Amino acid sequence: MITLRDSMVLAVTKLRTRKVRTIITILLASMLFGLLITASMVTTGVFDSIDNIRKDGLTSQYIVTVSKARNDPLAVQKLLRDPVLVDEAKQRYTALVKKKTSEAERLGISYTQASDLPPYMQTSDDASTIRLNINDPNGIVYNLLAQKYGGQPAFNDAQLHSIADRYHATAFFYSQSYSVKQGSSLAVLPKDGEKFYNQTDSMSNISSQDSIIKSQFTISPSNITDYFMLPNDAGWQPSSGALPIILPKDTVEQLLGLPQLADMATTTEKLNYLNVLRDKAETLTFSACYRNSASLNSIQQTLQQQKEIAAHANDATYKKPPVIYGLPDPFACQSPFIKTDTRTITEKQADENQKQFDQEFGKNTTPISYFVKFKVVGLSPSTQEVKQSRSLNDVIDNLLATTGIEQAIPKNLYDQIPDKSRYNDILTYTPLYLFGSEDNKQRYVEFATASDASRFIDQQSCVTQYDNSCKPTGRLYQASLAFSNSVALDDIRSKATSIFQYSVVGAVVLAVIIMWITIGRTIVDGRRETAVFRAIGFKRGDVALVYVLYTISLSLLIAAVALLLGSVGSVIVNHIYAHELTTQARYGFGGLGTAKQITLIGMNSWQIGMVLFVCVTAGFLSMLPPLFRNVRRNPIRDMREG
Amino acid sequence: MDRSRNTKPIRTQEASSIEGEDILSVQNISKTYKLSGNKVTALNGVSLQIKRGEFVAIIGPSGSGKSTLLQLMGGLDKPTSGTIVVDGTRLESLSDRRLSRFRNQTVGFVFQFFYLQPFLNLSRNIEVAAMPSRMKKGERKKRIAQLAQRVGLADRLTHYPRELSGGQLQRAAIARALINNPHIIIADEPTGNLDSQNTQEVVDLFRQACRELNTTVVIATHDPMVASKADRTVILKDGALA
Repeated sequence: MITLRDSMVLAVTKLRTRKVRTIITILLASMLFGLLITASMVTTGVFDSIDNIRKDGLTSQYIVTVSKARNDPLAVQKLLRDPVLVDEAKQRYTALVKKKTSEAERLGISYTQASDLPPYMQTSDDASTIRLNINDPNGIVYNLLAQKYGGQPAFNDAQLHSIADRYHATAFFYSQSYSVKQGSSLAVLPKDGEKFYNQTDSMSNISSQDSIIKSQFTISPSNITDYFMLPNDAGWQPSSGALPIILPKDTVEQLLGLPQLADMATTTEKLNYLNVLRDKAETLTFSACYRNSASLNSIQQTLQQQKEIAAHANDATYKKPPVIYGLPDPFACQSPFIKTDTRTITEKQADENQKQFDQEFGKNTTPISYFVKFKVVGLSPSTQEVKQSRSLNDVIDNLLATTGIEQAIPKNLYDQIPDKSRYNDILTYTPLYLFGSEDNKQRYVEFATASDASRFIDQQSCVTQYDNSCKPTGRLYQASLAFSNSVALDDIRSKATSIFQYSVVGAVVLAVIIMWITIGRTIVDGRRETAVFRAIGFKRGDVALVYVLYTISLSLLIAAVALLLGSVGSVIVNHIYAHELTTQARYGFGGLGTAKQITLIGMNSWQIGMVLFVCVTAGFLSMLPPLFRNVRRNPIRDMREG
Repeated sequence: MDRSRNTKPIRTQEASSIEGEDILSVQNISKTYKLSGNKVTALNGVSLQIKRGEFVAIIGPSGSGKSTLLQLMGGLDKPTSGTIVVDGTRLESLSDRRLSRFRNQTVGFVFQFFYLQPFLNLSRNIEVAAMPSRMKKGERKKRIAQLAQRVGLADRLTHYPRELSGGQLQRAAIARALINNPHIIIADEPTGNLDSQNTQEVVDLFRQACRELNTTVVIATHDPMVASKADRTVILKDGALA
């Protein structure tokens, strides 16, 4: 057997034969494997960077929102048609009308039963059937349901914990939903107050002015809100008298009066804009005007009165109302004031009696309006941020974006407020008692992995059908992924890995073909040389060793060039795309002010090792058949033919 | 020249090497090939004895079986029938591995077309034949230098084959054949591609090997001048001794 050193000397000479063919092979094969290495490095870099950035946001968490499944779509219908409840409502209504009639007589004011809607009504599908009216203004239905179901919890938290623990749940938390008191409004007063009143002539328009901020609030735990907070809670102090709030970016834009960015703005423009927005948001404090239903009613009546008087300005026979109201300063958050009052003492007494009657039977007659101060402490993604995609950037934005946060009050900050009673009018919750004693909690379960979260949803949750039933039947929960596409991102990573593996297989086939041509031809071309070697005493194993070393050398050369090309490729790709993708990712993740970068250079030792291994394996696969044939041939014939 | 060997020669039990006695014995060998389905007889009942240190020329027309006879003597091929004993070794009884060892250590081959490696310099080309014998590096260098001196190529050791003439290439091939100090040199038309001057030089080298190293040389040739320099001439015609 010849020595390894001697074999290597001869193997290296083989690399020097057929230089053009060898160089072409090295280039082609190394470009192929280099492409795979670039793909590996780039995808690894992207996913590692995204993982790194995801740690700063909800996209790294597998959070599932859970609510109770409604298996019987007719449950509410059956409840409202319960004859016992309907009979009880009728009796209570009769008693109330009797009491109101008696009190109206005592106070000397007019009252008819027709002005009071009954707590029941005919059903739309069957005129002979009576059902309870859930919108009963006298609260008879509400009280009835509260008495009957108020003691039954609507959700069994212990059971959820027990079931979710089977799927390795790591945390349970909830946010609580509140809204401004029914019939009231909370509105950021417009800068152009005059225009506001000029354009407002109905209750609905006044109420719609609260659209800058929503009249629903969520008090959310730090598990959710932490990722959206501005630095140092934007300087908010518990004693500042301001309610801390996280607002969507577009709401903050409106409050700041910033123009919206064009849809097709570049990602850099978007991120720069976002940074400006964040800077300005840190100092943003604003007030919203709360008005109760009486205040809203009086504004509406005043507007109608002004309209009526204006319509009769030239009518000499028109008699103006005895009390004429004036609209308040649009920036003052006050209720209308009395401009002139020509009522007689009797008329005034009648009005007072009516007021007493209304208050006695629960109608709010005292206009209340005041400013509620807010301090922006965080930014959440825009409400319209997830939209139909017009470009790949939009798709990426949508994929990376966090959704479902919107307008939230961080619970950890809210708990520090010394006097929470000042928010009693805007943070209200009224259960309907249709499904027991419902609470205002939105429950969340966090899982350790995407797989656990998906399994929980697949095995424990049902899906609402067109008939409002939830199928598969018997499931306890309706559950879905919350806030982010974390599971999808994981799935994309998994799919990318699979695609990479399939690509490797494809590359192996191509590489084997290319290397087969070169190595195979080199071995076939070397038949005479093999024959001479055999003639001067080389054993078959000696010849094989030379070719094995030649193949290893060629493969390692290809692998080295591939590694070089792959690295250069990923550096080039990184240079071209990293900045744009970093901007894209920062924007997509909500511009959390992270200094982290997306880099398209990442080392997945396993993948790159696999590519290099495949490279050498491809060489061996190419070598074996012709070598096997060569060493078995008759050297005399090969010398003669060579 | 040093006749010592770095490895043991292959010998059979029944024969031993004795000065003046036959080193090569061919007994009634035949060789038939199948060519395009037809049976072709290349050798038919050839018997021949060659003594140690003898210079034997095999002559005969093309197709008479000269090359086939040399290949069988050198262990490159096996006869269809008959026996070949070289330096006491019955070739037909050797395994492929032992036959390789035999070719490396007992026989030195010289071919008409030299068959040097184009990407190895002369020194390496000579060294190639020493590789299977695992001759030590220092000894290799020494022997290469000696052989290069002997064949007149001492100043050409770093040259590549493309830089040498035909005569120089064949002399290099002879040096390669001699590096393991073989008992027999088998040369198949070694002067077929050479001019008369180079032919003379090559023949002189063979004679020198016979004389100084007691090496047996068996050469197939068409050249009467080469044959005339041999101790003995064997004529082959139609696969049989004439």
